[in-house]
Amino acid sequence: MRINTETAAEKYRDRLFAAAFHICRNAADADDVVQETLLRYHKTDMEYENEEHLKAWLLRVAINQAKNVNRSFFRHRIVPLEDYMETLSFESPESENLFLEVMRLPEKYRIVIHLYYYEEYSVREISQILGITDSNTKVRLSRGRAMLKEKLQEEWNENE
Amino acid sequence: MKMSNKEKYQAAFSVLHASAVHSMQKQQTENRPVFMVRRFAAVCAGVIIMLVGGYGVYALGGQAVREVWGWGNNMRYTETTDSETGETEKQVKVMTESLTDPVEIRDNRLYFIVNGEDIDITGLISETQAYEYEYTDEEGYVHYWLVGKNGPETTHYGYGEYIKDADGKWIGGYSARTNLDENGKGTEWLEAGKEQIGFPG
Repeated sequence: MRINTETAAEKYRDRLFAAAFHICRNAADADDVVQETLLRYHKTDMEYENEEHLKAWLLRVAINQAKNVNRSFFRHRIVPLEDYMETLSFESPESENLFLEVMRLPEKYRIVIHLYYYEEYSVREISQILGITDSNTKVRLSRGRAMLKEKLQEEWNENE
Repeated sequence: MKMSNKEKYQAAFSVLHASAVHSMQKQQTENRPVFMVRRFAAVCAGVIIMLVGGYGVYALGGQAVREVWGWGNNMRYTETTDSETGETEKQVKVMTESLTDPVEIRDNRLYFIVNGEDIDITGLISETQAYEYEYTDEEGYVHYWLVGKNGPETTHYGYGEYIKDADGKWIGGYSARTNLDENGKGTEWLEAGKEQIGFPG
C-alpha cells in the first residue's frame, strides 16, 4: 500500500518531528529532518504492508536522519532548549518538568524512552526500528526509566 | 485518577508540532558542510598533541591532502602527501585561543555538551576516573572524549578528544585544562581514560 505524500505529511509529520526532536533537541533541525524524510518517501516507489509498516519506516528514516544531523559538526540555528520550551504550552508544571528531564537524558536513552512511552512500541519493535538487539533496548529502557525516576521522584511511577 | 507514565509522557510531548508547510520542491541535495571551516591562529600553549598514522586523502595541486576537524573546531589535523616524492607531512593545530569547552557548569554541576548532548557528569568523574563518550561522525571518524577532575572544585575539570579513522587507526588528539609531566603524561584520570579507549600515547 501507499498513500500520497501530502496525506503522509499530514498524518505523520508531528510524530516524525517528535522523534527527531528527541535526538536533535532543536526544532529547526527536527523540521529539516521531517522535510528530508518526507522527500525520501516522495521519491521512493516502495510498497508498504500496511500503515504500521509505513509509520515504522518513516520513523526509522527520520531517526537515522536526525542522528546524521547530530553527528555533523555544522548545526545551524540552534536555540537553547529552555528558550524553545518557553514557546511551548504545557498542560501542567509536571509535564514541563518531565519534558525537560527527558531532554536531559543521553540521546540513546531518550529515543528508546520516546518510542516506548509515546509511540507505544514494544521492545522488539523498538529494536527493529533502531537496529539494535532486544537486550540492548531493554538495558536502555531500564536505565532511562531509572534516571527519570531519580529526577522526577513521585511524578514518575515505578515499574511502568 | 492517577495517570500512567505513558499518559504523562504523551501529555508532555503532545506540545511538539512540526512546521505546517513542507514543500516537496525543496532540493534534497542542499549542501550542508560537515566540517565548518574557520580561520584560526595556530597556537599550542598548554595543550599536548599526539599523533599516530592515518590515510584517506583528496588531491590538491600535486598534493594529496587529508583534513579532519575535531568537535567545535578545537583541533585540525592535516596530512599532506607530495604526489611526486611521496613525502608526507602531518600537522595538528589546536585552537587554544578559541577552544569550545565540551563542558558547561550550571548550578555547580558539570554538564557534558558535545554532539548535542546535555549529560550531568558531576558524579561520574573524579581525579582518578574519566567520563568517556564516543560518537562516529558522517565521515566515519570515531571521536573519543575524556573528561576528568584535576582537583576538588567544580571548575577543576579537564578534557581530551582523540580521533580514530574509519580503518581503526588513531590520527591524533589533544587534551586541555590539565597538567602534563615532563614526559607528556597527564593526570591520573587522563592516563586511565586513554588506556581505557586504547589510545597509544
